[in-house]
Amino acid sequence: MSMEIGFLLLLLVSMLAAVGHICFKKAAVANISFARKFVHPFFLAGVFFFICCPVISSLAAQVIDFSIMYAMTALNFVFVLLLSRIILEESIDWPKITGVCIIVIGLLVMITA
Amino acid sequence: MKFIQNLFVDKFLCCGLILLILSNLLGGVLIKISPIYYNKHSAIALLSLTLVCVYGVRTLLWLLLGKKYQLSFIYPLLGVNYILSLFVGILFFHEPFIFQRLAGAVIILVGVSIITLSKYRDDTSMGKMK
Repeated sequence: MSMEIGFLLLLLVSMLAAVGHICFKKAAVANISFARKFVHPFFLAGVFFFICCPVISSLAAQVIDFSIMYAMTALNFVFVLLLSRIILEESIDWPKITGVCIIVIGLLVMITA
Repeated sequence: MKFIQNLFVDKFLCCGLILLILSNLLGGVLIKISPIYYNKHSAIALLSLTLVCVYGVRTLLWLLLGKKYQLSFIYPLLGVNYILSLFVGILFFHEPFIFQRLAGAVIILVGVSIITLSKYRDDTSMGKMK
């Protein structure tokens, strides 16, 4: 497997993790009792996405250094910000945008080393 | 400085954070070593089980710490992990020390901390779609 495919897989992992977080959030705010949240379709979907993540990361780990693999999880912040804006209609302000931009710059600095 | 003093006084926060940081790194290490055992089903099963335990402990810690502290306070502290992961890579996986990677990790830590300055912390709409 080439490095490029490894990075694409890690990109996919970050997206899946972000979708998983959105699902958990949806289950958390659903208007049902606490116990029923654990059988809520969104909660189960979230669990499914979170199970996919380590499996796909494991494939990518064959070609990517540990420190880079770990740093790629910072991409979660980017996707969570985008999805929470689009799907949950959350408010976005300058600290959030600046922070995410700086994280992307930090990642680029790391992976181009 | 006050924060560091508080950290030593507040043993609950100190222990919780250390465990959270360790479990995060352990999860990563398990994922990294898993490809070696692709052909050994028993080893993969054992690894998955450990991973489930690590994730379980992590969830519990998040719940415990989240009850007492603001998420926006704890989360940037975990940014330290990006720097620690470099040293884990060097120690356990014989990766080279590259200064540019350390610089990148510090930049990521700064970015995570800046996000927490956001004033939108409470979810007033409770995530409901319009």
